Amino acid sequence: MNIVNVAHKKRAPASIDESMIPAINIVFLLLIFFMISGHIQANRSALELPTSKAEQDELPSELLLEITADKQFFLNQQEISPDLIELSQALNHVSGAILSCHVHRALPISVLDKVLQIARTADLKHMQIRTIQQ
Amino acid sequence: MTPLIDVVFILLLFFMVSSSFEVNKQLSLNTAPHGQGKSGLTVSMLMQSSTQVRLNGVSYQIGSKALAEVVEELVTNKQSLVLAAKDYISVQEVIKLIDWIKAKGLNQLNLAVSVAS
Repeated sequence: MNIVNVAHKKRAPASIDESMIPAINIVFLLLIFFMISGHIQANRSALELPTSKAEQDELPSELLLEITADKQFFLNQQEISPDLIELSQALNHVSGAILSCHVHRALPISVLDKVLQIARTADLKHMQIRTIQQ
Repeated sequence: MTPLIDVVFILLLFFMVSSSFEVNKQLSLNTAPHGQGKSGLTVSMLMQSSTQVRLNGVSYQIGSKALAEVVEELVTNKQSLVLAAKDYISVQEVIKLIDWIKAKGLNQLNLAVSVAS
């Protein structure tokens, strides 16, 4: 009978690749965590949203109006003129649209005057303002 | 194996930097109707500063017990509120007031154009 004494057999030193496996597992887990739980920021850097205690989720809207800190207006990612003609036209073409406003928190409320006037003219009953939950 | 790990590290860095964990919510507002709507059912409130509002000719401190009683009375009488603010007041301050009013149970809230100071 050929008995092999394994107790005294020296284990081969682990290669660098093998010793890295636990670290790589952790990196993979972190990667999966960030991919699933985070969402890519699409906000413009100059747009700090107001904070609120509102708990309603934002509804998907056809019209997204962004007003940045330097009072630039963007409708669905396209820069528009401050007189908001494009918004007025868009509201007239899309009936029953939901208007979502992303407004910089430090701007005076008067920046919404034109938006409110256009919304009234287009008989838009509701609008939503995106906020960050406190 | 090493090039694969490099790619994974780069992906990890990308997701860590670009991900946002802010919870975005929305504040739903009615746009104020032309005129003042049906009189008696609608009350106008003017936000004069970040701490003070004017309602039915009386000034109130925001958050005060007196204002809370007035707002609760509006809720009881099923009246709606048209909120206007002075043009220099920030969006954040107005939303803070709207939050406070909604917390008192008044959801019939219309936002009107600002008032020149």
